[in-house]
Amino acid sequence: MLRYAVKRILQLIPVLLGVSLLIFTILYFTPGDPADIVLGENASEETKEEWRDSYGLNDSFVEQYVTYIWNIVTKGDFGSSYKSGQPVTKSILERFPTTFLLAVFCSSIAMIIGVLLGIVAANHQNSWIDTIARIFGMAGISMPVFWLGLLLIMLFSVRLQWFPVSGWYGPRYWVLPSICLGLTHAASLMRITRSSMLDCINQDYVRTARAKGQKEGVITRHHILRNALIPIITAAGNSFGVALGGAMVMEQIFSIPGLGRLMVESINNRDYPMVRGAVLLLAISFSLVNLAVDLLYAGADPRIKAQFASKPRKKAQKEKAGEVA
Amino acid sequence: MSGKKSSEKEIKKRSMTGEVMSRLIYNKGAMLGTAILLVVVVMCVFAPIIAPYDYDAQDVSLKFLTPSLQHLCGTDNLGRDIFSRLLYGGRISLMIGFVATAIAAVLGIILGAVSGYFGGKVDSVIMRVLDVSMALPNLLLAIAISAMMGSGIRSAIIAVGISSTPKFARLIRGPVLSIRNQEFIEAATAIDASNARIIFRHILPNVLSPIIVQCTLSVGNAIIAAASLSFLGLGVQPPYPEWGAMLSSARTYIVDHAYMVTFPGLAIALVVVSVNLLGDGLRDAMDPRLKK
Repeated sequence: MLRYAVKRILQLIPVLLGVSLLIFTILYFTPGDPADIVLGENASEETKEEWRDSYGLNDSFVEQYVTYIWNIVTKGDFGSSYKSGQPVTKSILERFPTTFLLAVFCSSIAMIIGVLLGIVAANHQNSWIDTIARIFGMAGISMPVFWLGLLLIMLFSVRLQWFPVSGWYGPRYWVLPSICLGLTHAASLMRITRSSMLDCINQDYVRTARAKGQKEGVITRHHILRNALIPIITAAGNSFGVALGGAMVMEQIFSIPGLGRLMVESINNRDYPMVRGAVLLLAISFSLVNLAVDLLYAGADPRIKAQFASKPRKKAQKEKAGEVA
Repeated sequence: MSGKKSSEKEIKKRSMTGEVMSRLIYNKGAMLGTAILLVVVVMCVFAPIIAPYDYDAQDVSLKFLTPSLQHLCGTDNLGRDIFSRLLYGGRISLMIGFVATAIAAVLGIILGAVSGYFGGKVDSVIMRVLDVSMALPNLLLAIAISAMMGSGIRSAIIAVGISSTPKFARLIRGPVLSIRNQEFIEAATAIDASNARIIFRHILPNVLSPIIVQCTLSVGNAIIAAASLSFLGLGVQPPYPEWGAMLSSARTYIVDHAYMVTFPGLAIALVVVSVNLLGDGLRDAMDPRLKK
């Protein structure tokens, strides 16, 4: 298990290098001179040249990229913002907890509502509650999240004035964005839970459990849900990752000072070091969440856990199997 | 002899599609989705005939009119008729949805099929590239690409198309891997069929149903992604009446003129719901486990 985790973390390194190269290349070829935006169009060519030199922008593409990676690996230095001159690391780490918190709220809401509703809907297939759940699921995956956000603002902030329109200053401000993002994710999680449960519900072992007089609750929890869990875990993990990376739209609507908003601002300001840092941080967290999901599989499914078992044990098992044969 | 053979083939072909279609027709949701989608597409295609006003016709004396018979969805801050703008905007949004999906499907199918069919080094290179793109959330990738290409309809299409390519490639690769080792592929290789012929004539028809389902669902996602881009100020920019861009500019007036926000969002949701209903229906109809 530990060996598998370490192996997966090592495999992340080339992926993250790839991400950094991808984003570096994209931004390198983005038209528009950062010097013009930072210093203004009217700055003299000499000042611009000096500014470019100080950020190493006159070096070749390869030199720039290697320096960038070298500074990250050796010093943990993601460069400095073109705009404020502040270290990028500091700015993105300041913003990250907000985005992370939003993602945690969103995923919690999604998991509670989505999974529970999915289970109930599957257990009562074709009943009125199933119909409601299916309509909820369809509406949730089809509604653009920013429109839902605007509708929630219209209802709860403008009409009813229960919650503030925008900002991020305390629990009252957290409610609407979390619910908005949480509901859309709950919808897709509900759909996956429902269909995954339905796949298991007609299996022979469920009928056997019922035939031996097992309680319905136990059947649902132990026989059906346990077997339906893998796609649900995948979807839940994915929803957390997407909430992290896709919170940009949410943060824009509710004016939340998170990483996504920083990134959109930085793209508009041509503040490339900031964009690169933010994208890399998001990619790292996204990959770590995916890794955690893969490790959770082992907890959910003993068959997968057996695959993770260290090699000596596997060998022993094989030998045992050989003896039996 | 040959005539008989071809007619046999035809019967077989028709029965396969026919089976799916007959199941689809009994799916109320899918039929509702198809109907809505058809109506919206027709309305948008004939926008110049149907729309009562030009999408850019400004009349400041008529600004902020609430919905009425003259202006079905009201007018915006510049006195432009929102209903007409929605019709013209639908052309852009739908085009982005369909074209971006087509790009993603073609690129993804080629990548996935090549990767699964050839295996070995080609496969590992393609898979590593896909791993990199999967380490980024879709929207993030689309934002980065559209930042590089600047704003505009074309860059939105390319950004959305490329960012949804990996999904297709991954979807195709698995089935291709399992089909590659079957006997009929060996037979095709034995009669010296070219690799391209094997991939396009022998393998792809066998993985058609997941592709069709994914294409349908992808159109909805592409429309939402494009609208999100415009909403963030990338992608399609005003004065083009793309639905996301309309929402973005209507945001300012949310407190006093709620209808300005309601209709563009409703239009997006309506189209995406109908596409998703059709996609769900297709998936159910093509599910081999339902065959009896």
